[in-house]
Amino acid sequence: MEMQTSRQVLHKKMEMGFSVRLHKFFVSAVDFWRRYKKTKTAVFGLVIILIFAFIAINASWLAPYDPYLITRERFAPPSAKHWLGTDDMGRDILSRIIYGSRVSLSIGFIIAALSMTIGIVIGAVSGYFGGKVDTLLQRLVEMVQMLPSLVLIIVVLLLLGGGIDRIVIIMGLLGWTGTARVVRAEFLSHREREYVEAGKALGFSKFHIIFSEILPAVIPTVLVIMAMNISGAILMEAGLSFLGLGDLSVITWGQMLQNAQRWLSQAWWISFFPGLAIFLTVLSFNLIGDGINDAINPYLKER
Amino acid sequence: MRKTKSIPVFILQRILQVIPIVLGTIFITFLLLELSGDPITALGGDFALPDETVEHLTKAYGLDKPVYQRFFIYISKVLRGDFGYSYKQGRPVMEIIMERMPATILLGAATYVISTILGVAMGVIASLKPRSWLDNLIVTLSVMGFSTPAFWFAQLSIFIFSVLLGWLPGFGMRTLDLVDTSLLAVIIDRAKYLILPAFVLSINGLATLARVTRANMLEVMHKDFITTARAKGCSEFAVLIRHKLRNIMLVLITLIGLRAGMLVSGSVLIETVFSWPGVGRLMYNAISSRDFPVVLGGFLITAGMTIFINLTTDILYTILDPRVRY
Repeated sequence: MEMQTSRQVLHKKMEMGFSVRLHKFFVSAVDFWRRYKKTKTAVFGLVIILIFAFIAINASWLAPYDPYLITRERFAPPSAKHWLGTDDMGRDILSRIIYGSRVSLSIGFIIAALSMTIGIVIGAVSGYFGGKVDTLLQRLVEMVQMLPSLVLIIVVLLLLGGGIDRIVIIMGLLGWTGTARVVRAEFLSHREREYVEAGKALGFSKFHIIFSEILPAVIPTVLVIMAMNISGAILMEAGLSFLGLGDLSVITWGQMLQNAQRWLSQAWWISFFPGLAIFLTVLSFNLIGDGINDAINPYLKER
Repeated sequence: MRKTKSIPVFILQRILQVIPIVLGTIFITFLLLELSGDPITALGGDFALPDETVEHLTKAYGLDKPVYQRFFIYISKVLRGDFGYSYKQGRPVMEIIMERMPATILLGAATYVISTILGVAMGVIASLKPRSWLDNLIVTLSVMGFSTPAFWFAQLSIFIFSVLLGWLPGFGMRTLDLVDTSLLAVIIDRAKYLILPAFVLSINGLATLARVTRANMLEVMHKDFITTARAKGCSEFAVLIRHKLRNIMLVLITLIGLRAGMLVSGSVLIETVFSWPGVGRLMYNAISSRDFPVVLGGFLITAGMTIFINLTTDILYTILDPRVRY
């Protein structure tokens, strides 16, 4: 009977805890933004990504031409009519870049989400439990990390057939090691802290402690890796499309660069602008990652 | 307190730990081969093979044996360096890959040298005066450096240095009709072809190294042993070389191992852009002609090289830093 009541008390505490937490979250979010915006480059990165996201969402009415439309104006250099010129089939490069942003951005996000889910679970389990589980998982991390991932992805795509969905799944399955290592390190340092001890004393389940107590505390670090992961995924997808392993029915920036390869000596704009789009996107995500890092570890900024 | 392990024991332990990784890699390729469908149907292409031929081939390739037996046969073959025959050229895959290996090793070595020297130098220079314009410039350049898609940078550099300015050749590895065949002339010729691809391939690693070197240099700057060194009258230069750089050596060695995999991946792209006749370009051609044995062989070889480099750096690390062998 007494057990019952203490458990009820616990439930009440947890409910109260939720609203308190929500309030705390908003306070810390505002505080976080105040520190984040101090880094000018990080704000620049965020603005660029927001612009690209806007372009990707509104591609259909922003693009001046049909990106697939083949015309007789082949190799037209940048002009008032075609801002970024046309390619070997007379297609408008600006329109193709605008449409290409959809695939590049969404692929980056989806792959990062997939690989980070795996990385967080493995890192959390590894760091929280330690011991044999940890040793075993760390061997797995080492193994996956040693594989030349691009080459392995190529092998998989060749043997099992290409396509965007497969690229996403394989890259998700291979890209989690960095996340797992960082999350593990965070969990190692958090599991001995008082609030975790308190949680254990209150009788919370391990699942609850890992995902509801420690994980929220390491979210800022996870955000930093997420920014880096997205930029890595975009670069990798561009590389695969460049090798001709992407989906030929959709426009991607990497594929535009593959096409440009043959016309390097006569039309620089076919290569320059899609590459610039990749560069700006990747750079922006890296700057965002640095900005978050500076905001959560202000003392590091001095270094 | 644990006893300190001796170096040979530790090295042996490290080598033993690599075995499951090697077997795992081979298992992945075997699994992929199994999943990719029936090789005999693939051999026939669009034509249906006669029944006795199918039966003969099934026996010849050992496909009638159970999966686990096939796996052991596959492992022993791979470990002996037998990767089968190329569909395209009809020659052993190992032979084809080994022909291309020198070119890839040349490019890889040049890349390591360039990125390590330039990267460390940039990181050290940046750390000497933190927050100065030079430091800011190097920090900005390094963020840009690892955000650049290397194959795009390759295209740009070909356009600028070879198409526009005509300074350096943009394709291939050597001049085919070289008149002067003295050793010096050949070396100069090779170097000309090597500069662009090696520099392009090194930018990502160079940027990472510059950043890591800078961060680590700034971290050791305020350590007590630096103050001690200065107090006992070391010159600034001696402090830099003997005390600061020595301390970041370990970090740099780890990075070299980690970069091996990225370098291999990068070389597939860069060799393709520059028509560099190495393993990467071989694999690209094999991809476009669907020559599976060559692609798989290339993967196994590059994975093996990456594992080997990682093992070497690990061992080097333990010899240099006794703390690892707790």
